[in-house]
Amino acid sequence: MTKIQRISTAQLFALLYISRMVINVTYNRYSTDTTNLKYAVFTGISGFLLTLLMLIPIHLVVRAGNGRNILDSTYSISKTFSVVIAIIYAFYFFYAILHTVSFFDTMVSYVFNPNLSVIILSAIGIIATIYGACKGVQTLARASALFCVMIGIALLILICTLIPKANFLNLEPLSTDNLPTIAKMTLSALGKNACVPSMVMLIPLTNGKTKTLSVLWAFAVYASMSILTVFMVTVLGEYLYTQTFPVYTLTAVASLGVTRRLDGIFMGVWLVGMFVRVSLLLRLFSMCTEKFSGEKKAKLSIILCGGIIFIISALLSHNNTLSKNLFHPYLLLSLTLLTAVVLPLIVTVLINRKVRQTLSNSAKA
Amino acid sequence: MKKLLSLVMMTVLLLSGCKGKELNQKMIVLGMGIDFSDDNYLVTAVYINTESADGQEKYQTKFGRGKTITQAVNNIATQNGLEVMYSHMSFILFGKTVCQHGLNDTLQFFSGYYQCRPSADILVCNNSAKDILTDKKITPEQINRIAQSYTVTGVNRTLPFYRFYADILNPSVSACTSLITQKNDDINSQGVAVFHDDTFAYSLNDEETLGLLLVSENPSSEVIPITESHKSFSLSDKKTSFSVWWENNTLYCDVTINATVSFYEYAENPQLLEKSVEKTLQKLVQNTLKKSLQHGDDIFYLTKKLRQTNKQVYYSINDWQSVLQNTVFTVHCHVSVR
Repeated sequence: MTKIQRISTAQLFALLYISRMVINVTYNRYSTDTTNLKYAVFTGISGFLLTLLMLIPIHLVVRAGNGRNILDSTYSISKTFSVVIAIIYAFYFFYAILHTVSFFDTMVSYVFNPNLSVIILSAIGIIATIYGACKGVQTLARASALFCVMIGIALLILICTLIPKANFLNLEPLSTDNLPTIAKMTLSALGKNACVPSMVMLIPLTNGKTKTLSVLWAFAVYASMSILTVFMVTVLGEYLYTQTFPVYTLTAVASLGVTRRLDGIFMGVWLVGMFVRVSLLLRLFSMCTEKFSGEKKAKLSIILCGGIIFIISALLSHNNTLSKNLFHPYLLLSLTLLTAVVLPLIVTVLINRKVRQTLSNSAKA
Repeated sequence: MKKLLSLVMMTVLLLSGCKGKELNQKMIVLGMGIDFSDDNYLVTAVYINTESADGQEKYQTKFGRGKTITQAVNNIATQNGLEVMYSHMSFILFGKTVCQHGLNDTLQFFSGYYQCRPSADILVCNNSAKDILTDKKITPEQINRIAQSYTVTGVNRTLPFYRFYADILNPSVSACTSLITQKNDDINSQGVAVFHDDTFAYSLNDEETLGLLLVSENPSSEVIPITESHKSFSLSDKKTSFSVWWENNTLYCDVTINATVSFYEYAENPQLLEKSVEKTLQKLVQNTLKKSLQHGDDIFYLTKKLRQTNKQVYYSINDWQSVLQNTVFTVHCHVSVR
């Protein structure tokens, strides 16, 4: 029997915070309309509130399953249903990894030296994440706790150096005309919440008050995102709209006395975040495949998944149209809502019905 | 497994390098000058002379000419086989000709080129950038010093690339940055150059630049002479507030400056000079506002303030030049003597 690796709430927070922030900081012209970033504070508020709603089904399904993850809970309903759920979640995690690695490839092509080989860098990255995923959730969580402190310090330094450069005249008030834009941006932000479906698998492995943690996580993520975008708009002004990766530009601009050229630090922190996110998603993918292929094959599936992701992302890096269609914000949102809201709600209803049936049968007996 | 990983890590850390290039095989560009003549861009790059053993000739220059700015920059790279590095470039100097031609193409290039830093200072000269950068007596440090000195001297205002380009891109704001001039093998700051869209329009002299700085920046140890006496002063705890509103199809603007004054020369009764100081400050700001608005330029970000207070009106205006030319403004100064 495998020993269950348990993590603390602080470690889970670090793991999820890094995984979400790494996507926030890779805002780019291809996936987000950067001209609307000036309304990001409002997006942050609405995104936070809707994410809180998204978290309810996750906690309901964990509670209904007596602290078991969704795959184990469905096993008690039906073995076939459990396999179907495992396949859906495995597919979702695979899709989220592909989305992240494609982000990585785009960033490397535009921000790093364009003469560098994206394929070699991507291959090195995937090998490192396969290694991380094989080490397990507990190891990743411990590393994340350490990285989270680094990211926190880096963010603090960045904000301190940007305060004197901010011109708040670059901000614009909100009008009713902007509401559709804000709604669109909020939905796009919710689609990137791959961390919420991850919680279905991670909360059962966590010791402590996970409800408070998830609220705190959502607040920290959207608050950090809003602060960063406010600085993007106030510091860069209209220059923001010409930049492919505005957060990277912001770090290149930041300076205070001898503290300057923070883009190097940003790159390091971002690579660490990428490593954590992809490793975690790969691990979750293997946890799903374990349900229908067994423990030994599940470990092999990490390597196989890594290999397939590498090939597809390399192909996608040459095809912008396909990449844009494949990672359309509404497709991302649909899949995230399916795995974070719809499936957990269905499973909760089925488990509760089964419990009621068992109780009534035992009462009759 | 651990031994193998350690070996891989050591190989990565110990056997890595800068693609095998030594320092003397690199062209570390410190500054760049752009001119435009005969329908061609002329780029002058000042770089560190890494081959000079005695340090006599610390800098060298290379030129590149091309139909497009990219071609001109690329021609520099192909001249001597050195690997060009622009990541240490601290300033871009635009010559008179390119400023008259228009900066859009050039700014687009620097904005998109991965090696160029958005924090590089932008300066404009009233002659050829090539002449300044090839003058052996003028060093890149001198140009950097002028760029950085605006908070001290109060007679220039250098914007970093990202702020300058942001102002060029904004339809209601006019970009402005330091203007330098070459005189007897030396360079001097000569106020500020103001742009209409992306082309040079006119310049502000030292006094007018000070008027601009008094509103939009925080000069730290400037020397401001009082108009009616032989005393000079500097400001501290300066707070500038704007009120901008739209009424009867006219833009109204009210600027208020509050500050503490310190006199450089001994004054027996400094409180008596308060009114003269206020009058001096008012005049300085009024002159600059008047000149820029007469040209239809917003160098004080008045229109951005309007965008915050009346967004609907801001986005309905198409002809900013005539709106700004008809702007009604008032300036108030309140100072207290330290």
